[in-house]
Amino acid sequence: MIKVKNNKAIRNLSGKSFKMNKPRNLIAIIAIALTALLFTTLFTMALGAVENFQRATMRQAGGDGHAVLKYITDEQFDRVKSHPLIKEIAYGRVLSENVVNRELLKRHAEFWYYDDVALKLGLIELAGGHKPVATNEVMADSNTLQLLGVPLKPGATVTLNLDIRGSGEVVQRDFVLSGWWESDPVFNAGQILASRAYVDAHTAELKNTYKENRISTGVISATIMFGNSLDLESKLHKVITESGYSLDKKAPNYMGGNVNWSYLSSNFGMDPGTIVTITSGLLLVTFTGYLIIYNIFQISVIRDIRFYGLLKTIGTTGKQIRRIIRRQALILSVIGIPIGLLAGFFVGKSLVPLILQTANANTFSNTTVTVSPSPWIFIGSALFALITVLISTFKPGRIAGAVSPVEAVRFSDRNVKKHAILKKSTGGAKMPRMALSNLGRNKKRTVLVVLSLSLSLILLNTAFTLSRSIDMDKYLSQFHDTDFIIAHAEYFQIPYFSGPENEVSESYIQAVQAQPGFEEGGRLYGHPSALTVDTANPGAALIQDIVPDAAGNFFSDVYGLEELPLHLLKQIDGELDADKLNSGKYILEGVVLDDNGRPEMETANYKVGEKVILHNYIAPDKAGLTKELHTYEFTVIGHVGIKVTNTNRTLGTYTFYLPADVYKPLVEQPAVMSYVFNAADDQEQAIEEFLKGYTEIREPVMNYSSKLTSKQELSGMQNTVQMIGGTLSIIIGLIGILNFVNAILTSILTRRREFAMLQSIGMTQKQLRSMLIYEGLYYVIGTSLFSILFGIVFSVAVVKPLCSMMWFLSYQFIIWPLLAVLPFLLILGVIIPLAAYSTANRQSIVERLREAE
Amino acid sequence: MTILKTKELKKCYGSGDTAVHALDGVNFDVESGEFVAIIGTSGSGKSTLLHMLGGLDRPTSGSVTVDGKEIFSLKDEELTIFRRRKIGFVFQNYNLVPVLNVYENIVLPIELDGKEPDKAYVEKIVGTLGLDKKMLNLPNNLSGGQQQRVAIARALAAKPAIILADEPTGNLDSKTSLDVMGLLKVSSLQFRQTIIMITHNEEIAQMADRIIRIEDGKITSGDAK
Repeated sequence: MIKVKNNKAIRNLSGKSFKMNKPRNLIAIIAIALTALLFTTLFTMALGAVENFQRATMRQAGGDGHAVLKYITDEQFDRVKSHPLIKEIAYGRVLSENVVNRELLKRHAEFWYYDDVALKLGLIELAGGHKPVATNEVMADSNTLQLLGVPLKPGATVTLNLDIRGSGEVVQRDFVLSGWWESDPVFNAGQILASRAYVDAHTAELKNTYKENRISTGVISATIMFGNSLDLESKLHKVITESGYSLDKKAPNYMGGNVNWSYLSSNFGMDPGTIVTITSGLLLVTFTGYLIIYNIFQISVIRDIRFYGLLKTIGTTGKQIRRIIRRQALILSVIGIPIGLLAGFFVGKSLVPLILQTANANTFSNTTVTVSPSPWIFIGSALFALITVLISTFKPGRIAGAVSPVEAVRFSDRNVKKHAILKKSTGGAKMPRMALSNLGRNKKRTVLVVLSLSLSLILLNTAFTLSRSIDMDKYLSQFHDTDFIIAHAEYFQIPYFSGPENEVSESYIQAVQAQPGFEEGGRLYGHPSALTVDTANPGAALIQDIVPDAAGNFFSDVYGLEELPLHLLKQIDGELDADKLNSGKYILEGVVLDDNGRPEMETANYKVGEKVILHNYIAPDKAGLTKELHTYEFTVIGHVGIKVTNTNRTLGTYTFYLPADVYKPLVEQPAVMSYVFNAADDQEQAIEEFLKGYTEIREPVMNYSSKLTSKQELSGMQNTVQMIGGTLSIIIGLIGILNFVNAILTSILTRRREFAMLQSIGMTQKQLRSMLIYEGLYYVIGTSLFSILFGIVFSVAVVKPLCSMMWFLSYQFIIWPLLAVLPFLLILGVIIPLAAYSTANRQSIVERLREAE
Repeated sequence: MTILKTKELKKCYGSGDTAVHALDGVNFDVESGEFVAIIGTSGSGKSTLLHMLGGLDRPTSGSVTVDGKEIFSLKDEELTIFRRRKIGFVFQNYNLVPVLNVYENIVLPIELDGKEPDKAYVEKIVGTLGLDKKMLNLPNNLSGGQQQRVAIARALAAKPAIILADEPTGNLDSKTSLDVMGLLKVSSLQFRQTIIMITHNEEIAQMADRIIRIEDGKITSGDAK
């Protein structure tokens, strides 16, 4: 084939016909921009979520260093620091095993020295004052200072009670505050940092003896940044071995170190669920974009088919015509995509915090979520948008390229399909019938418009179905049997309840009982190391995996429940007879429940009716078996569900429940693990506020958890699902409406002469308008029928199984969000044809009649 | 009885030096049942005249009276309604509604008027025009001559005061043209239908009862009966 230089001609033709198509161009640009917007939103949300998760895990891991060398000495630090692989190395030193100020009980604080690199990698930026210089200067995070009651002003006195070597010997030291920074909410612990001078002044107490006695005071943590985050593991190994140390834990020159797990996890941060979600999102957007862009180009090509036929007549090849169309699509993309990218970034950015809040309510609350404009977001979105445009214009280009010059003259919108010869009706001249026939002219377009409108409606309905299916009661029942649960602060988080040392104070319980609105309550007693199961009668448990106590018996969690919590136990089998239980001869065994509340019976060790023999626990370091070994015998009367609310939030092999009065005499020191109570509905809020105040001021070591707060958290989640689903359906809805406008407008434009003819034989403007309104209404009716029908099918076939996969969702069939939007659609169905008609039909009948000649 | 009367009909496009006088004072009458041909060359103003007579366009000055009614005194919507009751059009390119079948096209103006078509009358017209086998066909499946016959049937069906035919044979070959003209002539006689036809074809014009010649917006001959 001879290569001809015809680019210029093609460019010219493409440009000229481009200018002829102003309304199409406008709609196409908006459509492309919206498509790009959807892609950008999707990418921004996906990347933003991943990015923020990663940052949060990094901060939880203690900074964004690539790796850390642990428990090293000054000498080791100096030998490692100049290794060529290391870009930066931070010096952080533990100054005290514990900070034991009472105020820091709920939120521990660590006492460290950080050099400048460590401050940078630890993401610490001073909000006021300066870094500590003098021996007695410290800086700390704002929450720690608030807990200590220290004003956020340099110069304030900070008194620390330090258990420096972890020996229980506490020294009190006064410091001067030199500066402070805003606490990062993801940290569960505070930080207090002293100066280099302090380190130098206390070399003796900071001697690194970690190898001998595992005391971490004085050890150095060296956070390392490499050139990049690839293959961190082997880089760290190289640094350690090439500096003359060993990775072998038993070797005398062993050096401990690990890579930052947030970097590790980021490599596999996309779990299959996320990938499926993102892929289906991408497909949905591509399809939506395709629906409209294809439609726009299809319509415009068919309208200009004579023009392409003409080009064919004078010798333009099909390939060249395809190029003309592709070129126009590219020009439109060049304008539309950047607009969409920019808008999409901001939409996505505003949605990211919502996603994160839902995903992890605790970690991200009050955190400033940042979304950085990663070039990948834009490159990816632009690419996908462009691909969508090219796919969408492929077929219209083929049609235009394949048109035969002779046919082109006859080829027009009104007879794409030739097989209809007869129409066996005689009532077609009525407006509604005529309108219906008009839609039938281009069935494919009608279907596309109906489909693209329905898509957004179904999406909207799905979002609402999901959010409505969030089962408040199911969710709450997982964590709450009662309105409130009060306990020691440690009960609610690591290290959890462990016995008399962190039991609920009686004063707290009494204060609660005295509150107006208090209805009923009950104590839960427990002590994880109070009772054991006799080694000779272990039940079905796999005892070879369990470490026995000094008497050879196995740990068991036995809880003593007062009446209210006892009644709230979920009975699985056997009986829950209070009289029998109170006789002291019977015991209930706990069984693990799955997320849906179904018992996992294999976790039961005894059958109903079997005997259980319990002993008191013999601590191994307490001089052998000097204590008397008590033996208690019970018969398992039934099985009940183990829940967050009736355990110390940890799970052992054996879990048993007894009435409190039976339980208490069994153990040396019965400890109140938690106290659960109900309140009158109208007083719940008041009691919540009372608890908040009480645990902040009166007994700061106590804490609480309420149904009310969990409820609020959950409704936040509900809103988020609605918000994100709503936003996406609005954008997709806009595309659908645009498609609708485009279809109506072009159908009116292409029929201008036909309308003129109808008017010339006596159709009034009013009749013409009513015909157009009928056409619009048929689209609406078609969309309504399709979306209701398919919405129901989708809801039952896809959303329902989806809901059953998430334990806190109970599928609820709803269709009202879709129905609620229909009147709005109806209005559009009337307004759009009228508006399109009045813009398209300004010319007089005569002018329009002549147009074609 | 005079069914149509024009008086000093003028139509001016543009203004000042560039003004084009498409019609420059046209006066003529048409009697009921007459078949009149208006003949003129391209650009003579004959199409403009036809548009004026049909009330599709408003004149710069002068008046048109159809069936005793001064049509330009009517408002647009009134004019449209008047048109569908009193005037039938036959266009060069047939202008049938593509989504309606032959029957529906024929009765369209009647139904637009909210009336029931006179079935017997329609059947008579259809029989006369030889369309009885094609009633359920869609226009695109008909030949040009057949389409034009449908257009004529449509114009006749509403029993208008006048049928205005704008180059009705312009798109047809000469044999079909003669057929169509024959049918127009027959219709004129059989249904006592007033027909005004414009054409540039002398031979076609000869089939009319009377020929009016128009040149440069003026009637040059034939205004007398």
